[in-house]
Amino acid sequence: MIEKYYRPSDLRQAAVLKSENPNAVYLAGGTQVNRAPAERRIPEEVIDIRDIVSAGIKKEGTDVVIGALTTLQDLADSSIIPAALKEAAGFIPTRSIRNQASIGGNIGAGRPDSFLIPVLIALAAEARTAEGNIPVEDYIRDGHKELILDVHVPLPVGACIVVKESRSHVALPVVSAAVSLTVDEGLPNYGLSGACVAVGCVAAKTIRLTEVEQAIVSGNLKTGKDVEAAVSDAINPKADILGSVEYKTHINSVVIADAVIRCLEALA
Amino acid sequence: MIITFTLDGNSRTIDVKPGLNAVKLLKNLNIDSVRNSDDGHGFAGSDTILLDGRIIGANLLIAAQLDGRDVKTVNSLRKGRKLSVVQQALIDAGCVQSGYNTPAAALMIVDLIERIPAPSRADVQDALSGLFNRATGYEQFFEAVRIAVAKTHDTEYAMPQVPEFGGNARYIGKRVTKVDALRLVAGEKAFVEDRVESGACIMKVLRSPHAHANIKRIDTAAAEALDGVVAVFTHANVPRKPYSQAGQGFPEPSPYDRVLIDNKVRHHGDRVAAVVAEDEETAIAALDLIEVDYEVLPHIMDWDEAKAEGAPLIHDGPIEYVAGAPDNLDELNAGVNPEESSVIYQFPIGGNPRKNIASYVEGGIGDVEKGFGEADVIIDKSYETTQIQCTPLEMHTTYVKPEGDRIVIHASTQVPYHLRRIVAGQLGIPENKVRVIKERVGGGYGSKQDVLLDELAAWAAWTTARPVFHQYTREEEFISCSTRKPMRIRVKLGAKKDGKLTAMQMNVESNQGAYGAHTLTVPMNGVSKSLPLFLCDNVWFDVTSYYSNIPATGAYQGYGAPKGNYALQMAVKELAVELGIDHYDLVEKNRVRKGVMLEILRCLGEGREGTPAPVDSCGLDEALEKGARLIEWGKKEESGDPDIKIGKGMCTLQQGSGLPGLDQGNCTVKMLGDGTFVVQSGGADLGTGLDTVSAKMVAEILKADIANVTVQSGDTDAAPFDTGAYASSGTYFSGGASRNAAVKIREKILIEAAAVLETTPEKLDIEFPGVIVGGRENLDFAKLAWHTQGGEGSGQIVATASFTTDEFSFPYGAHFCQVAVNTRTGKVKVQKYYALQDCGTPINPEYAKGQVFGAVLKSIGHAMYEEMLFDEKGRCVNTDLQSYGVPMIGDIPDDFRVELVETDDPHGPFGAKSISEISVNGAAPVLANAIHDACGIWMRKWPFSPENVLRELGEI
Repeated sequence: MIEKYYRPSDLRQAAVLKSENPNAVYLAGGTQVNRAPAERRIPEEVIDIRDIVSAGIKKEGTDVVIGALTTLQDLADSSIIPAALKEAAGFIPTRSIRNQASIGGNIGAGRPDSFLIPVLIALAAEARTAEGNIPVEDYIRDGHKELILDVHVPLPVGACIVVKESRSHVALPVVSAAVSLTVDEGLPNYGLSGACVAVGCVAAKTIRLTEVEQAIVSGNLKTGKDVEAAVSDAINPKADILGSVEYKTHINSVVIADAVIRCLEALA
Repeated sequence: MIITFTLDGNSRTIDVKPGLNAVKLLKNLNIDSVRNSDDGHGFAGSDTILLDGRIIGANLLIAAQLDGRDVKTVNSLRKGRKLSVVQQALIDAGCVQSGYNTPAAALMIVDLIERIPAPSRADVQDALSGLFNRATGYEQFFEAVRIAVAKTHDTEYAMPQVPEFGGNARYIGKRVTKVDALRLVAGEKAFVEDRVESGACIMKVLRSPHAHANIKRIDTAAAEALDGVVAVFTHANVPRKPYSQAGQGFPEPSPYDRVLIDNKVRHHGDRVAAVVAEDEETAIAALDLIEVDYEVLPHIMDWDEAKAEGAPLIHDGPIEYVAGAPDNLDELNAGVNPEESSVIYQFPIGGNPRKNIASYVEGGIGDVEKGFGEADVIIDKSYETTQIQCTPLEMHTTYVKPEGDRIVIHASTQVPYHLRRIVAGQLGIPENKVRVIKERVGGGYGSKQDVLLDELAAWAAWTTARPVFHQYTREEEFISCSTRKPMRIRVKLGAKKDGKLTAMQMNVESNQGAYGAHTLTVPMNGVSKSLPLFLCDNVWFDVTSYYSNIPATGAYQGYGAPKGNYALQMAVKELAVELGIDHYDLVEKNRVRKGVMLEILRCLGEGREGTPAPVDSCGLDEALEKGARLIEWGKKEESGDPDIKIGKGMCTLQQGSGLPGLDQGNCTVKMLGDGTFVVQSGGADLGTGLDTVSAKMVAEILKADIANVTVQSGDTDAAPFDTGAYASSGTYFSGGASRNAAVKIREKILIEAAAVLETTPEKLDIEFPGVIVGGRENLDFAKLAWHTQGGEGSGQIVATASFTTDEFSFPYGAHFCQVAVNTRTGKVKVQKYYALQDCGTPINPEYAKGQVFGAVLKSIGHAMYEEMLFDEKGRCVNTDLQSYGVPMIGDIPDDFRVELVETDDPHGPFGAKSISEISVNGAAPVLANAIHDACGIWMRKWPFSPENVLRELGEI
């Protein structure tokens, strides 16, 4: 049970509290921090950030800036964020969770089956923290814990597709991935200049399949089967209650391959 | 900390622990309607509130987060006694079954309509995406939204006409407000947890981390020394008196093979100790202070391991028989472990714990070998089903209070009278010292047919003389409950080239788990509720039930039929393919129909000698014809996507209507001083509408206004005995008792009226609304009551009647579906599901449909998504609703229909047969058959998960 509760009124106070209580965790919406008391995983100390971090979505130049406390439902309802991010927010199957969970909390929790993290990586989003800007990819990969204030998402140039797969509508996913392709007119292969394949559910954190990305950009993957094989070679999921290694490898390969093909078709 | 927030329009400032769970905070503020179904997993939605105008699960909030916020509960919707439009719409659409989270549904729909005035089907699905509702199947929520939207825009809106049944009857077969709906949709106190008083102790149970172990040492001293601990119980200080938790009629066919707390644990989650403390935190803390030394034993998890040479024995204590001991009993008891508790059989059921066999039975008619010899084609296949959890929204809960020399149990049970008997037995007191009050039940589905926690809480309350509240966690629901038994069923069918069956054989192996509840009757029911769907002269079956170390199994809606029917109906489809005959035609050629005599029932007596029974009503003709027409049977559908294959499936199904010769219902009807009535029914309404059935029976026969009939059920002190709500007995037996009591009081009314009117009863009749006609003047019930209850009257008019029968009334059904199988991902989408159901005369048509929808979706979940998974140590590893995999509104078929096919059964009250269980028998076979039609694979094992589909397709 949470024994100590802090509600700082400014960032400086939050920083002091955090340094004095290193085991304290930031409390945003609460869907992760307050989850499942029966498992007794609730932290004993929390720092409620509601007075120091904002919610809201606005355009700034070629970026969309999303306050870290913006709920996933607000993302799903937004007309100004990239379509893939909007769709990924809607992947969270339960409205009450979308109403409560925030984009900052989602990144901060860093769950390997997050629907937002792959798409934010694919869109090259950055987290603005109290200590500076950090690409979401780095934030996840390097296990950052800085307090996220807002998220800057560049509007995509090219195509971005998000995919999910689960046994039932609300079951935990076996696939959560995003594929983005960037273009530069004049280049061959649809003008393809870059690719990002960000994949959750196959490792302890969301990862990028860099070999697959390079193969896409180089045009070495001619067919969907080629992409499937490349993805299959690039991932190493573990068996758990959601499925065997063979199944997870297969389902990620075919679903991500479909996303790659859809991206290429969008460019074509 | 001090927090200030607005609760249902009123500002509240309170001093709370900041980390207090918001559901508990609201409970402390007397908000009962915000409930816990998932221990804070954010899954079930029973905890829904409107927080600053948005739906949120309060279980995922702490008290501090409410500071400065606006909180609305269902209390904000009702104005005085007047329900909101949405609440009334939920009642009108038949959505209020158990009602445990209907208030949550109301808030979700209010939020939806405020956001989207004219919501689409997808909008409704999204709005209710966080609502787990096992009972309803969700489909009627769309109707509720339609009604609410219409009434919001048009206050004069008239309810659409709905199909009605029961001919000219005023109430039978007509839509009437379910008698408990208002209080449930309003969120009033209704469930056991709402009855707990200040000062009640909390009981928590220490559960085994091992699948199989002896307890070598247990030290409770530190726990007992903890401030606030009232008592700690272990095997050393509870009665060592074997009993069965199965809520079956006495003497039970289930062996008495457990004691309150044993010195041996037989499954992960088995009882080790119980702590009674002043509060929950202390009870949990005390559990951590109990030291236990286990001698871990090898464990067995299935039938093959159970019957292997040298397999560890689950029950190695003495075997005893109350009656019919076998001649070799001394031999069986040679070398038993005297440290283990006994296994006591009330009568022989073929069990031999020395071989891990809990029960065995075999039987047949004709000559099955001769039949196979005559066959042109033989199919011989095996099918496997998995362990399934009932997952009621309301976790198992009991509240037990000592009252002088008696004990009062507020219970969430399907069997108040069996509960009374079992508790009295364990406490060593007579039944008159035990009062059971069945509260509204937040879902049972069979798991509340068994007495899983009341008897231990009763022992604790009795010995400590303190009131004790005990409620399972969701994890305990999985590891310490009553679950559906896994089965492996071999089916062998023989047929002539023209499709005529020549022989049928079923060999059933059942994984009973650690204790023997329903060991004989569930697997036998798999045979008795499937084989009689087909007519064949040569039939054989055998049923073997094995003890193992999986968590205890017991009853679940459908009992054994969902497994038996899955195996048999799939085999019939496989036979059709082998014969090159259309599946529908093969079923038609061999199926049961009205007028036949079911000889097979001679050997399917479920614990007693069986008798052949005639089929006196059967709606399969219409159900099959209509279903085939709706699904466009025979028309091949194409998806347009080469990866997605479309297929159609069908199956027939049946159940029983209670247990003729075993079950009994009783009911008392009393006329009150103003001519209204109280009906005291022994029947246990689980949210299915049984109390409404009783009210209708009485109002119909007495031609009384149904508003003048109040039903009080489930209080063992007040209402006469009933065997309970299981085996689809409610309408038939408990409803039959209500009808009989009404007939009896009608006779008394006419006799008393004749005396007042100075005529003979034969000349009198009753007309609506409760007026006695035919005499010198009309006499209404109020006036008659005045005559009878005055100082010179003959006494209050009261009648009690029972219902027993030897007549069988089988409900029948035909299910059709269309699926789309994605051969790349293995995912199966149910596009269409049509359930055509013959329940005789549907007494409550909207709730009959609701139960069918609910049963179908449950069985879709069982077949496609759900499974209890175990690690190598025999521990269940998916003990929450999400990872276990229950279906939600996003999983319902795109086109989901229920059609009630009316037949007039000669035995049931007003022609009624059962509806409650039957529809859970259809989805597994109909989906498997459709998947085969789509892509040629046979799904002979649950679940039809994407991974298993891909394996059958050879993709992985």
